[in-house]
Amino acid sequence: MARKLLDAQSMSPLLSLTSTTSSRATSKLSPDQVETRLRQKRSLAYIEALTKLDAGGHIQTQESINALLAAIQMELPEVAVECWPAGYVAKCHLGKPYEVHSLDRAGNIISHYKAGQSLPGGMERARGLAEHGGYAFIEVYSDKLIAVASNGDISLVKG
Amino acid sequence: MSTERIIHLADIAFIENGIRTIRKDVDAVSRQVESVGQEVTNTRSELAELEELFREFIAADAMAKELQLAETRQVKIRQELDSKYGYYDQVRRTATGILQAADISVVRQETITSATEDLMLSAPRYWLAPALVALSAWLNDNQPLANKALSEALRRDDEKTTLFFALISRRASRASASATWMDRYFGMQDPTKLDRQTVVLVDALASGVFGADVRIKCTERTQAWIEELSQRSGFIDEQRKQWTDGLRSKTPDLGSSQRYVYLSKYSPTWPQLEATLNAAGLNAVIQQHFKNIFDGEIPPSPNIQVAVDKLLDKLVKNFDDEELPLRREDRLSQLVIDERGNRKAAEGRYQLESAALDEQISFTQLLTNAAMHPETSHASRATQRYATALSKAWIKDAHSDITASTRASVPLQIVLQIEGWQGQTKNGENEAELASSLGTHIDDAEAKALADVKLGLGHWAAVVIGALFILGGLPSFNLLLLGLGAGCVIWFFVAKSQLAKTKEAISAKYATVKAQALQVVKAAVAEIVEWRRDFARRDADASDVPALLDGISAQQFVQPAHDNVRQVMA
Repeated sequence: MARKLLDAQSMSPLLSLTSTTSSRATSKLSPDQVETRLRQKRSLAYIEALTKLDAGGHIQTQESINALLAAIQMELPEVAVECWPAGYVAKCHLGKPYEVHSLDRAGNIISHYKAGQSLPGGMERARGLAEHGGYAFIEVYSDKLIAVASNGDISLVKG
Repeated sequence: MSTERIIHLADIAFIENGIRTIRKDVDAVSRQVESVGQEVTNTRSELAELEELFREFIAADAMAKELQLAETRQVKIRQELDSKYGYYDQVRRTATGILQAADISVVRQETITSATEDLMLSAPRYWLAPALVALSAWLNDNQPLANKALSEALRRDDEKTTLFFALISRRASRASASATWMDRYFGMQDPTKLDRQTVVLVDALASGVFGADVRIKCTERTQAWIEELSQRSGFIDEQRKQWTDGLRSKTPDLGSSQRYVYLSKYSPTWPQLEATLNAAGLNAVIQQHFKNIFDGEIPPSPNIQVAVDKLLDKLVKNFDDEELPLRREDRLSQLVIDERGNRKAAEGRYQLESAALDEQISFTQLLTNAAMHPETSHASRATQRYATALSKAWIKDAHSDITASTRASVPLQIVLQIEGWQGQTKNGENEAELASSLGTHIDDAEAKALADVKLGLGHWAAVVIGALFILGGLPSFNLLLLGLGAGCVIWFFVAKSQLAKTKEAISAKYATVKAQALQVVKAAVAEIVEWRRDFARRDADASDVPALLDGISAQQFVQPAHDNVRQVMA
């Protein structure tokens, strides 16, 4: 029987692992510094890792979750886990009727959404930006959205 | 017996005629009622039109009044500036006059001395008066007087006096004196709270007034200021806000309600659509703004004296803090005039620009003001270029944030409301569905209206009573009862035929309403498609601004100095 990979209990050891490695970093970085760090250009490796993940299709495996967390850890090593993106939204290239898909750190890792289907967990507000097509993906945070272009440039939208 | 029968027949014929006449009259009355009903409908729609026209008139009238008021106020303010601070003008002109006279030595020293002494008496509290006394004493080689006057000038306004003498020394090619004064000036500056006249310093730097060593020192100092400011917490947020405000202050009003008539009338989503389109139009405006900064000539000054005179003029004319409240009101009135009386829009723009008239600002805000509001902050074009080049990373950040925020605010679904029906579409792909739903809604309304048109209780009562009368009158041939019965029955049938006519009229009306509503849907959908295309086109301009900014660097924009030293670019 398949193990349930993504419920809270199985996530927390993973999260606590990453939080111990970056706990030294959290005490160093103030909210301003976190924002400065998040405002820096993203590396091409990170963008590639993320776009490769969801190009793989609807597969929810341990490897893909680990790959996602590793990609974030490598890109933002000094940033604490609680300041990481809560999810990612991007334009869906599978074609009609799918419009956008999302990657969620805690929950369903990859979901594709059709017109009229709302994204959960506050990610619906990123839909317009994702559908525009001008950005590789949108990082969704609790208080902001960061739109990442394919060359790594970022744009920040508060709220 | 037979005569009775004849009389009966004649009576019934008479009654029948009477009833026929009644019927004709009822017909006529019902036609008149119909036409009155039509008149009422027409009157109502005309009244609605009149109401709209009246509202537009009130709005236009209010705007015209605001415009007139702003123009009058501006004249009053400028008069007040002249009268309260006009005597400063004389002092200001004397400053340049003394320098130019000293250049060619055509005026006697005594004249210069007595002119400056006069100014001391006529312009109390003004820093420039003792500064000119010090200047004339210096020209006269009278050191004690020069020191005394200088101390007084420094007491009245330390910063402006220091900058003044830095420029004067430069003008007189006293390199070490100029460097000393500049050092003193920098020593007094807190990059988080600069006085507005520091823009003159940046002007001097950008226009190549200073000699090589002062220029290098100034450039190092300004870089150090930027470094110092970047270390402060909240700096990033501050930059974003400053530049976002500065860029957004140029948002155009594209007047889209003229082009998207149906959407503006039938869509509650219209305010969001209009705002988003205006925000997308900002890209072209910003691009033009920066192009204007970087294209076009900067006429070089023929020599150092002319260059410094221009700066001195600016320094003494534009930065007295006492005048600030009046200058702020003047600026607001000018904005109301620019917006043709739309006070709300003018106040919005004023809020975005108000930092340009703050008394004390940070260095980065000074750069923003110079680049985005050169008229209010009195920056020359050379300074604009230098400021833009120094700030280009922040401008790019703010611009990309504005672009993303505009894109995020595009409504995904556009709602239409027509004749009590509501529907939504993304890009008109479901037009057929919308039309059919609207059609059904109107059909339902029609059915309801038709169902309300029916014979009332009175009519049925009449036919029953009539039948009873006839039945009652028949056996005894009571003419009265028969007549009444016949009358009731006939009235019932007349009313029934009227019903048919009313129902026809209602159906005709709803048919017109339906046809018009379907036209509206078609037109609105066409406008939606056009709006999306319009937005996409304006949004695509967003990539031009970073491309333009990428091509410039700060070092390019420090003008070649008036000395003969070559500057090696770092």
